Amino acid sequence: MNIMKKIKSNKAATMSDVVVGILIMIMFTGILTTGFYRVYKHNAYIRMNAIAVDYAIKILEDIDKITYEEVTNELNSTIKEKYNIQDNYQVNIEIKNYNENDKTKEDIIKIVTLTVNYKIMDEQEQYTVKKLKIKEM
Amino acid sequence: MKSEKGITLTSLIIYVVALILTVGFLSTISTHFYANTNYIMDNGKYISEFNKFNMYFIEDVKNNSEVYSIDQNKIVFADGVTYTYSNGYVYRNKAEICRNIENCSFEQNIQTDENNFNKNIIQVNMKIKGSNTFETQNEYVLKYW
Repeated sequence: MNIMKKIKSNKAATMSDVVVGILIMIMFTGILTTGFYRVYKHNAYIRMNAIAVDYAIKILEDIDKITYEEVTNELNSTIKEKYNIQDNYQVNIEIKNYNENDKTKEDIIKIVTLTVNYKIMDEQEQYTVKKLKIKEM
Repeated sequence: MKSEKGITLTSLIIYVVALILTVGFLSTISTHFYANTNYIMDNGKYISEFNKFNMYFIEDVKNNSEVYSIDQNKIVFADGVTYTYSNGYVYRNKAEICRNIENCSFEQNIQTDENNFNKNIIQVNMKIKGSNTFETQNEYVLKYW
């Protein structure tokens, strides 16, 4: 009954009270929201980077499994399906022969550059790793 | 601002309720909008634990061309470095490198290519505890050059 009486009462808060109250609420909400957003973004960055590293490890270990001759730029055409890469990530492999600039050297080493691109809240991030593929002899 | 015209408690309550409903509605929409991001975030939580393991394991795999001994939960490389899974933890020699692990097993296979070249492959199966159990299987090639 007391509550109903209070609700039905015509005692009013002035416009100034309401405006000050709302301003205080907006200020605190703003501070809290900014804090939460930063924590969420940082957390998302760490975790999405962890997934990018995991993709890179799986792909580079598979490059060691296959033969030297099979390591070509053609690998890019099957990479997405083979490793079930999520839509948020783009993976690219670039293969260069170590003897590219000096053909007198034997063709036994390839330089593999793997790049994983991903987006976090409209910010583009990139993880790049290089390794040498050595010919099986 | 200096006017003493007021708004009643009833209308104030209605404003606040409307505000809460609007915020709730927007939150629901944004939750669906970020569902895909949350899925990745959840996977990332477990994968980061696995990456800690990878950080040490890959270095040892590429430093060794042979394994001294291997069984279900323990692997000893030729240089003496040992990885052991015990009671939810993975140890490198005596140092704990991963926690919250439900299972971690090691297996060795030999892969022969068309030129009869053999490669030693170590297969690691790991289950990580959490709100969902995350399972991953990775293969590592021992040093062959």
